[in-house]
Amino acid sequence: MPQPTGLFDGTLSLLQRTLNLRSAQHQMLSANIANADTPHYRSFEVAVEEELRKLRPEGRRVEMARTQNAHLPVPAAAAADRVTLRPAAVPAFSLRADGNTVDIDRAMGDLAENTLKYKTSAQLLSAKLKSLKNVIQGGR
Amino acid sequence: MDLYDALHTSSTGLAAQRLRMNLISANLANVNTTRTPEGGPYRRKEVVFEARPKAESFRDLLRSRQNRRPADVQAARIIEDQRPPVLKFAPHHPDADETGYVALPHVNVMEEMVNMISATRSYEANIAAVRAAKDMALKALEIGK
Repeated sequence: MPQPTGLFDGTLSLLQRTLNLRSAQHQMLSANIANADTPHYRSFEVAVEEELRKLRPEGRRVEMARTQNAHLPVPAAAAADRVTLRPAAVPAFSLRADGNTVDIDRAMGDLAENTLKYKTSAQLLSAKLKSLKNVIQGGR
Repeated sequence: MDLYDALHTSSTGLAAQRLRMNLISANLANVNTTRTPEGGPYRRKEVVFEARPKAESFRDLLRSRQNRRPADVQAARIIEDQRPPVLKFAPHHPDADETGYVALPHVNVMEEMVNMISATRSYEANIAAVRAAKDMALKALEIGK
């Protein structure tokens, strides 16, 4: 079965992936903020930009068809569900003695940035769907 | 959904900071308390936080073992300050010993105030995270409108 191309491919799936990654990142940042006073807590973050870069198509690709539900997903699709975490940068001159690596100022900045970018992606997705709807209705 | 989990994580953070604030209030309120049910002067209390990984499935458990999973915060235990009480010369105090000294709790008001500011700021940070999660969820609901 040919995959739908053009209309529903590309932008929509990219935006969907962006929203998923941004909400995972938000969860991670919330956990870091909640644990800002927990001894020995190590802060992590989602490498959103790196994950999205992986999704960029490199020329033409051969897709594997799944004719049975039991088939394992093709690598590209499997990679789309995965979220890799990386340790957040440790503040250079930390004076904390409790082994906690949360940089609260950076975490709050990242939180604001992540929220803004999530909302931007949601807005773009909304606009994309609106324009599709417009086309389907013949511009009426 | 990730956003609901994020809300829950932030709410555990709020609860933890509120508990910390309650203990600070108790310490300040009992700054001159010389009698307790356990006997002796009041002992300053402090909470120890620990990260509790979410572990509902095998995958979560595996990731939590690798320390790679967002974690809630919870109060592990409440410890009592083991510093010796402060002795004050007050011979007319009913709890004074035979030399005229009263054992008062080792509560440093300045230390408590600093901890209070720290707890307030952490609470506010969690509130900001909750607000951001709410904004994101509301924006997501607008998709396709």
